[in-house]
Amino acid sequence: MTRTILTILWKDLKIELRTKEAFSASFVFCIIVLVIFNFTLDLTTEEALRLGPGFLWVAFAFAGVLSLNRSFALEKEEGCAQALMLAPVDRGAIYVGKLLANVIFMLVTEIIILPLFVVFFNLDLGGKIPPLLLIFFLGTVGFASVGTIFSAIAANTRMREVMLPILLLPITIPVLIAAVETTAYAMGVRDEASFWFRLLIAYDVVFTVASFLAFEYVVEE
Amino acid sequence: MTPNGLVLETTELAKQFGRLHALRSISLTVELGEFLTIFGRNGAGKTTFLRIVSSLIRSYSGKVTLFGKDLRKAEEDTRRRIGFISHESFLYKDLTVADNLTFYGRLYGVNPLQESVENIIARVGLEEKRNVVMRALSRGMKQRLSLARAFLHKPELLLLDEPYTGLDERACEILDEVFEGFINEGGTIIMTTHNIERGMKQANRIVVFDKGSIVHKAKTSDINIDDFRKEYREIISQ
Repeated sequence: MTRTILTILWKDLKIELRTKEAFSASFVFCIIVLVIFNFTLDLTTEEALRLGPGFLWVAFAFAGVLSLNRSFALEKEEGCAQALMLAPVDRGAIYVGKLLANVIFMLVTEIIILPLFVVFFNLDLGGKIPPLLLIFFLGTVGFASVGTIFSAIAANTRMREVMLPILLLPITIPVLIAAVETTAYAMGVRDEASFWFRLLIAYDVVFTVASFLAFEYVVEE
Repeated sequence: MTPNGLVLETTELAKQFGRLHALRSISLTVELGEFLTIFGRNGAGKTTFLRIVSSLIRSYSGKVTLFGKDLRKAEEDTRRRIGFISHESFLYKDLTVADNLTFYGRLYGVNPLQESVENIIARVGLEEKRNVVMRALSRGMKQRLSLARAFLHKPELLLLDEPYTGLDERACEILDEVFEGFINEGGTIIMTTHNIERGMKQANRIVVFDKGSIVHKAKTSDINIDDFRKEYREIISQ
């Protein structure tokens, strides 16, 4: 199973390193969101800290949709999805490999966007970076766990670009709210976020396991 | 393979998509070393049959025995022994020739991987293109790479779903040569096609599917191709 997961991950990373399609689309989208918010709202540092977590996760969520749309679209080209299902491997391992690749693609964008966010809004996040990165990781795993399986579903529909956000965004509202609240806590805006932190972890565990188990039925013809 | 020499045995195989009966009680056997061609119009059930045998479709009624094992109980093992070729290449456009083959080799647990990849690249004459991405290859090279992918894990049974679709005459001839070599080495082939000449050329036996049922079966040695062509036209015009 580990071999299959690493093989799928290796393949997706190779393709992304060569094409940079997922990264370039999501990075440009995030930059545009930050620039628009920065120039239209003209926030003070306190206001930027209060509203920043929301800005960040709006950008991450929609950029994530762009990246996830690409995930299974590339498997539909030349019948590759069918070839994956023909391989003598556990189909759940294919899901985990795709999920890891999607988490890495999203995290890379988020890690590059964070310093730009700090510069645009003139913030000092100093020692808050490590907890922020942990929250980015947990939020991204939750978002991508559902996004990966919905990407597989949407890829089989005629309007996959429209279908994925319609399916994905409503069901990820809990993880996005939890991510915003815990990000605000990590930035020092909230005094308490233990409930949201527990929700973030519970969402990750429940939806990753459920998607892993459901994947083979979702991709079956 | 079973003790009775059968690679595939289906017993009352049936599949329904909603209210549509794609397959109705198909009982069919394929022996080791045999080349079976399945003819039939679009929607006759040919592709559904191949998809069940290759375990792409897993909900069906009836029984499928592949290499002597119940398909429902030995999916992963039987998939390892099957090669599947369709009119789609199953290749990633942005991976190189070597990377595409390495990827599939890893999925199929090919060992030794690197040696097998290099050998098959040499066999299909793509040594100079090993580091070229698939999208930059010519149509003929893509076809050769697609064949290399299908043969990399040394399958015992080849399932061919309309393999000639979209190919020119020379490319069809290359496919014929590859299939002939595979049969001579002891492999077994099941092919679906509309093309009577191509389908009859190398097959030992043919069956005709219509509306999910077998409506005709014969050994190719017993068939006059002109008579069969007329008979086939009558079947598909009904």
